[in-house]
Amino acid sequence: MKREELESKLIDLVDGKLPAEEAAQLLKQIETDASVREHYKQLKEVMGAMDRVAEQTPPASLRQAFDQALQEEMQQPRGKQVWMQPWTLRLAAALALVALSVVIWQWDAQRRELAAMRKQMEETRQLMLAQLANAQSASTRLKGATVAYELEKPDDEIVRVLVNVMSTDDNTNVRLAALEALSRFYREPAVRSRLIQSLDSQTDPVVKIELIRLLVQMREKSVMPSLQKMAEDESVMKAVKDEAHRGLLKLS
Amino acid sequence: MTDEQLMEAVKNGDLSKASLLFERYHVRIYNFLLRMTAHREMAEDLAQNVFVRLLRYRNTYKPELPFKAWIYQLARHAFSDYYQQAKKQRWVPLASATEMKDELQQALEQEELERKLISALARLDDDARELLVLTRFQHLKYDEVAAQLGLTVANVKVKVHRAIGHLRNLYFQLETQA
Repeated sequence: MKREELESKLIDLVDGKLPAEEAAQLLKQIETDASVREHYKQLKEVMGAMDRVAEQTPPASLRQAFDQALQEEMQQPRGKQVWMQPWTLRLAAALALVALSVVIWQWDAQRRELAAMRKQMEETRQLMLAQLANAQSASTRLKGATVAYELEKPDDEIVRVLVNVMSTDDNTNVRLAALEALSRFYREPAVRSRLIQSLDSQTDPVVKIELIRLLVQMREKSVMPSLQKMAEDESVMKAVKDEAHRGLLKLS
Repeated sequence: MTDEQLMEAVKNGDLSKASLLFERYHVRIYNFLLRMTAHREMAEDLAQNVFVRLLRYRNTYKPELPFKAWIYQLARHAFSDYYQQAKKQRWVPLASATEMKDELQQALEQEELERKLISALARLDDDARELLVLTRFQHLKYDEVAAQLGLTVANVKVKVHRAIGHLRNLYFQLETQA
């Protein structure tokens, strides 16, 4: 019997799904062959562990969020039921509209196109800021940070919001996405100084490590005293200390 | 009322019936996403997203399809969207993020056995993990999973058994490392 076939039969045996005759034969083999016995024992343990994993109770906030979404949905006029398109589809639709208007309104194409683009950029900006400020949903804030990552140049307000998200968001991945968006603009003096300032106050170790890497990549020597302090501080997590140490070596 | 009758009512405008569907499904959908993401907050966020989708896309529900299959489809899409974004943005991978969090939040303190199992599960590839979560944790039948994934029942069984085999290897590798 091939190994995979044997394993499959052993799994059926643990599940109690093997016909009686085959089960008896296999049990005999388990008794006489030590390696098959070990295999069976291990499968029993891992499958038993899966059976014993307790179902987790969702937090109460899930129900609250659902009740709120339900109330909001009930207030929507009937018929308007598919009103949340993915962001990319909206953008694609907007672009298609812009392209169509260019054909139709050829005589003043330039003026119209510019106006549409300005409006769209402002809408995208507003949408992004609203997404970043969404306290209910981490994935919405992630989307906001993704949009910010694609900006050509951020204004002061966007930088301020991104720094705030990077420093205070409850979710590590949201903070990382904000940092990633900021890292694109590190040559901007305002962004650079905000990144430096936020090193000491960053509380999430995963983000702190990424921030150290970025500042080292920026060859920002002014953070060396902070790194030194981190590398020597016993209360700092080991992975962060190690990164601070590596950073010091690279900068010195 | 069956799940399908409730969803049909929701589709026809009786949104209050969605609360009953939430009651019946929110625990298992949350647990499905928790096992897939290994991250409580993200699981909650995605579960919320699933029920919002249920309301918003109610017109797309086809009554001939079992409601259970449909809601799992929504949950799988929600996870897939999250995972694609995570990959694009190079966020912290599931396993290492979980380990970091665990290191920080020792308050979680799961039983050793369960912790080991969850770690091994996080190291499986997504397809294998999904199959095990659906069949072993969510107790979906092979034919339900087959319909969900567009596979034959025999194929699902082979894949589930292979996934258990991989999980066994990973689980006992962790034991050796420990």
